[in-house]
Amino acid sequence: MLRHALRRLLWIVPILIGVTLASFAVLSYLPDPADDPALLGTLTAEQLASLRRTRFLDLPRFFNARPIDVAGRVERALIRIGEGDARAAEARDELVRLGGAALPHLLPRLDALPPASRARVAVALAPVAERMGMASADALDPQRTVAFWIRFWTDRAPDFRAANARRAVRRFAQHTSTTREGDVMELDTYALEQIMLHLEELSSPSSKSAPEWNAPGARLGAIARLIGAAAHVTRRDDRLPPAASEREALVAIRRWRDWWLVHQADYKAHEGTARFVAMLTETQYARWAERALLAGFGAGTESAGVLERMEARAPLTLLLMTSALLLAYLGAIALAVGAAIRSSPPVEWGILGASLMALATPTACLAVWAMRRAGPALGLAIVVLALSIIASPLTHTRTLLGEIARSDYIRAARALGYGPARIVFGHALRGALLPVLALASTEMPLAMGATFVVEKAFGIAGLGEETVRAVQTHDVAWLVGLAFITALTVTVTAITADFAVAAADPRLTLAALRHRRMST
Amino acid sequence: MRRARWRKLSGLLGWRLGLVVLGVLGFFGILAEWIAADVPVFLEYKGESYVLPALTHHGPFAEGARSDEIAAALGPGDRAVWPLFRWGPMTETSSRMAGASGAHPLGTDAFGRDVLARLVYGTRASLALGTTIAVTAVLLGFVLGCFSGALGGVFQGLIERFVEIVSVFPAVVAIALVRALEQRPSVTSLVIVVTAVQGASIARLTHVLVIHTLAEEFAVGAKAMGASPLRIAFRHVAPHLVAPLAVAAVFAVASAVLIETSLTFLDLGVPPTLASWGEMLGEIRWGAGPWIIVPPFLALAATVGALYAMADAVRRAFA
Repeated sequence: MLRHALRRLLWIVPILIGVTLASFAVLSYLPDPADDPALLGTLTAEQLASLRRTRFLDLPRFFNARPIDVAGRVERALIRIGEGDARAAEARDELVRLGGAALPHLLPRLDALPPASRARVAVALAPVAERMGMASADALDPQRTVAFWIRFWTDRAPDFRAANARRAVRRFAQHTSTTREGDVMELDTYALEQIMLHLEELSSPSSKSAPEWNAPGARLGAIARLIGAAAHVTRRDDRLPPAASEREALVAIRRWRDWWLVHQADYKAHEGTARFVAMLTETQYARWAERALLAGFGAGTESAGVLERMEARAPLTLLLMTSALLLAYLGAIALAVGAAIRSSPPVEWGILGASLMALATPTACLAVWAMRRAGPALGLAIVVLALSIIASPLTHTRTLLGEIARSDYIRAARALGYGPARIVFGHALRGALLPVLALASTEMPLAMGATFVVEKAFGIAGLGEETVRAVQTHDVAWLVGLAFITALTVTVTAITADFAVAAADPRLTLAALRHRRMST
Repeated sequence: MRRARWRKLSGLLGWRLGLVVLGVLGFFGILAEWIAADVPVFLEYKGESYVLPALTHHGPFAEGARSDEIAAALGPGDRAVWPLFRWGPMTETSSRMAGASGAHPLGTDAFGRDVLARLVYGTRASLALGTTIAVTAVLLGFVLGCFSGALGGVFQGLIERFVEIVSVFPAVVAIALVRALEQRPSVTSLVIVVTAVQGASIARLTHVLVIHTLAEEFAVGAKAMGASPLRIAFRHVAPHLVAPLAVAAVFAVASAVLIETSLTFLDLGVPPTLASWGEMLGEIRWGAGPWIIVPPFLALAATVGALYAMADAVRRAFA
């Protein structure tokens, strides 16, 4: 039993990978913005590139043989500037964008460059110096800027270390002062990774109760400062307004997290084994899975995150669906048992006709009709939903009871002179109950469509309403999130049901369980 | 042996009744252009003859030309053989939500379209849709189930996992996702998703049946004679799967139409320009009265009943 349990649990991993692969495959059907004629005319090349980038289309799908980090980007920019070709201007902009994170890979090599390109590179760095708050005459004067940067690196090289960046960011978050702000600004984009890590820490619920953020507004102030610093070094105009609420702060952090997920490779260096890890992580699939699993599917087109919206709406849908499933299964078992006790052709035909009617009646019509007759009521919605899913359990319970009725022990009981009620309740039902319950666990994905319909007909604000809205606004994040979460729930429920069945009936071996799983 | 079974099958009342009902529905579906259309069945216009211009090309008139415009354009020398009712399934008239009348025997819907015309064209679309989905799903499920049941080992593991992955995705969410990604709703995506979902459940069913049947004496005997697992599965076991798979196919047809209804109600269904039963039933979202809902409902119930009777006959003949 324990072995089976372990095996079954281990199977979750490949199933999850399969589920993410399936969602990813569907998503790759989204047309590439570069091929979309509707977008081509309206967007500039730059906007198009950034749009492609947010969907990781600049990365290979599953394996990246040559992941580009900040060192690689610096290398490319140096070559282009040195050759002075048509894309040199582009490369200069790139160096400015990379900023402080590029300096450890750029400045030590400045001496080795030929004099002409050395000057060009140093001039290109002028906006970076400005951003770092070092807009002295030396830094801006084309004649002296090379000497300025070489001196800068001899002085400041020890500052460009992860530990120092961490310390500077932490001090800046705790308390604001001009020197502390200057420390972070001088690191420029080199501090971004630490800023993001710190923001992540601040957004977690445990930071609310941490003693260092006791003072009123201290935590929000720190978030606003860090976001301000990030906005300054990246020139991305996404700051926190002065009187922002807790909720606004969290939303802003999520936006920045999303941005960092897309752009982090520009500011990080892959050193040592990280290069091999990056071969797998710098891919469309890995980035997408990371966004899905760690960032809660992003925010989609709405301001609230997918997971938060789901938390708000799922309870109602779950309540509706589980109570309807329960009602449908209880009703089906009652009907099947009743038919088994009073077995006669009219009853059989009645049940068959009823289940065929239930099978052929569209949920939408039933729900709208009930709604018009009796008005909105949750109880009525549950009954309607139960009626629309009763056909399958009814058929299954009846078949199972019929099979069991032909088995030897029932015939023996009948020969002993037991009445039909005692045979059904005392013997037959026991054998039929477990497989039917196992079936109930896999019914959820099928019942979901009917649930959405009933929700819409009765005006219940559940997952269905949001899903229909998501289709109209092309909110793919919500849909993928919903598909993923339901798939996860169904998998876990099925495994739990397996265990429950095995626990209730110790005779069941691994093989029997496997058959049962396939048969339900 | 095989011939005896067919003879037994064709003698059963359920099989005959089901064939008659399906035949009548199919007849209406196939002859839709003769029953209701904007364009004549046969047209002689300015010395040229057109046969079934609605099907072949649009004839001398522009696409979307209405029957009264065509009738007005006809000269003294021209002749036209009109269908029973001069409304196409898309023709919108000014009388909306009207009850039965001489011109519209089943009334009109929320857009003033003739319900009878939509019913006959919807019969064609729904039967085609349901049959396509059911046949593909049964074939897919049968092959997958036979392979996994007969071969075991790695194959079984892989197919089991595949089926499990497909079946944990709710069909409605999958369709919603596809609809959100598409530029405009298409029928193909609907067919693919519903087929995958139905095929997965039929694969499970087949798998269990194959394993049960492999334990029977004739299968063990075939194995002892040296037959390969796949030969046993497709040659000896498959005939025993006909009956349960026939029942599964019936449910697949019914649920295809019902899923389409649900999706239409959620605004995720086939494009509204296509008339189908599901689309008509889904019109209840615009407050359609019983005269629009009852005809497609009856047609659906008749189809399900007929298919069930036929499946039941197959079960009796082949069991």
